[in-house]
Amino acid sequence: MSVTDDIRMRQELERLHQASHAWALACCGYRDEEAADLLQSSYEKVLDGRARYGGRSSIKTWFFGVIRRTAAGRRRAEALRGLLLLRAAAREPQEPYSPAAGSVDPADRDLILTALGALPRRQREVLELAFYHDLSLSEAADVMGLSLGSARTHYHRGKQALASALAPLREAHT
Amino acid sequence: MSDRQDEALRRALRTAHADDRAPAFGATWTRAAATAASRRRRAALRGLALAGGLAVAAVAALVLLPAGSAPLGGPDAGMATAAVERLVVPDDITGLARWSGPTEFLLSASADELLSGTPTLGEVNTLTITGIGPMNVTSQ
Repeated sequence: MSVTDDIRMRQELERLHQASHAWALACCGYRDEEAADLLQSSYEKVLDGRARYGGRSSIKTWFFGVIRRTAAGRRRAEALRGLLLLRAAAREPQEPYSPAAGSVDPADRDLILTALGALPRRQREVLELAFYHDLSLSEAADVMGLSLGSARTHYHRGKQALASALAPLREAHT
Repeated sequence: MSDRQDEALRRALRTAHADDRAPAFGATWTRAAATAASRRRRAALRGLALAGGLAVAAVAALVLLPAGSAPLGGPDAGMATAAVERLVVPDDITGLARWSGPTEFLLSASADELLSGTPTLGEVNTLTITGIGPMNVTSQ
């Protein structure tokens, strides 16, 4: 990349920073510290050339894919470590979510995060991409490295599962 | 119905992320840049170390190949042969010894023992192979 491209890339990533962080959170089970670390590792990949933008999709779609692959690599490394250390469970139990700062009802937020956390990873990811990041199903499939058909299946199953998990919340608000 | 459900899910996702606290972009980017630079430095050092290792191995092979069949010169050096341990700069070169292997090298030695009838097994002598550079050899 030329210097101009570097500067433009940095500006684009800065513009996407908030959304990238939200996506990093979704990719690592909504753990704040891990998300910050994951995001930094993803920037490192861009800076040292391990991740290169080829112009085949939007920068957002491409960078979300970088974040997702980085998270997947970490999960694999963690699982391998767990295996090597003969741990029964490679993943540590989720830390409690950070308490809400007042803009939403903490109970609602916890219920939603718990429901999202209980979904299979791909269902959760496609819902995050479609409903929070406003990506089309085709873009979400690109980010997730899936065919459009598979993404659509995860999307529909995820929607149904999340809707029923959130039914108590809807009833409480009606 | 589906639109209502979609809107409810959209609201739920927004609620889930309402209190996200992204770290400052500048700080995260700067840390990432520092780590990337450090990774590049480590990779360059690894490359240098590899090149250095290959150079040492090449010099060692140069010395060891004839050493298998050739005696180390000197008044009473007998049949001691030399193996390169590591490169050093000798600070006291006091004499000369002649290599009598298939290819002749001129050696200078800092250890008096080399010139006065040793080396013996296990001794370390600092030698210089003229034209190649200083190195540390262990007599075997």
